[in-house]
Amino acid sequence: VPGPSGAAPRRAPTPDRALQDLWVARLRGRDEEALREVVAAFHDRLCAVIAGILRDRDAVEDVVQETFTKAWLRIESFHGDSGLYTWLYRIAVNGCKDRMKRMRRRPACSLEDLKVDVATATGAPAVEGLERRELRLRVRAAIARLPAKFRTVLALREIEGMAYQEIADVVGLNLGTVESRLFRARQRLRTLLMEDGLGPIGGAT
Amino acid sequence: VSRDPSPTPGDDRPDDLSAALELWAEDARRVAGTIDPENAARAALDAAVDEQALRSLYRRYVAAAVLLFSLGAGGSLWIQTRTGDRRAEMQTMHALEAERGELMGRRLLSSYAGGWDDDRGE
Repeated sequence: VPGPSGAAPRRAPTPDRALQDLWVARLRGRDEEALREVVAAFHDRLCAVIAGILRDRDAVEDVVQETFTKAWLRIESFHGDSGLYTWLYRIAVNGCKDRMKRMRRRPACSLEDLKVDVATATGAPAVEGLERRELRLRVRAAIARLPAKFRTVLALREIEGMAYQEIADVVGLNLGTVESRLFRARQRLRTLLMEDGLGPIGGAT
Repeated sequence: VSRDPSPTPGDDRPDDLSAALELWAEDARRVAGTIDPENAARAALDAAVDEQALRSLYRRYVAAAVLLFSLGAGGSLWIQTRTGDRRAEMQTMHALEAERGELMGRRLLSSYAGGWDDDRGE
């Protein structure tokens, strides 16, 4: 849920820690219903963050499946230092890293690729003003040109709405590094958008 | 767990980027909306079955290889030294091949297991 202009984004409620711990206990007991509950609670929001990091829809689906599969198979190795929420995002972010390593040899995406992605694979609104559509494509192209480490922290902050400390826990960095990485990510994005001829775009419709 | 990210000084998005970031987030959520959660649950449950089957196969394979090696190599060498039997020599070779097969099997399994071993940090 986007926040007010200029404010940090709000996020959807996350199950409280007691419920997360209960899920962990049930997953350890191989309770398939618990797995379904965890998937229902986290699937869409995990998918959205992964989609912010990876551009390919099939890759997003693969990574989210791997995330729940790893959680289900490796729940015994989860020590509970953090909540299930943080652990799942950590697995997902690592899954994205692995996926990007495998995709490294593929050519960078073109604007034409993105047009296909947005118009078909991602189900962009069929009725959308041309100006806004063009803007969406350009923003997406600029995001795709950001280094993955910037895209990752931006996705956790802007799509999931995580607090800085939560991002630090997920990506395994200290708080200061996360703050500076987010600052640099925004600066870089602004530069990329301006290079593409996009100035302040708050007025786009 | 607090649901509102604690505001940090300097954390707010600059106004000129807000619209871009919201478009990006909107796109990402739209992608998420096209993916069926049931597939994720099913993939996890199927993988658990596959892993169990693989582990069971591996255990049986190793047990068979060890048995073959201990009986085949040890037994046939003992027979060979006493009889000079050509067949015992062949058994020995088969047992050694089984041992090599076991090593290959181990490598295969460890490379498989390595793929699942990256839930780093926990």
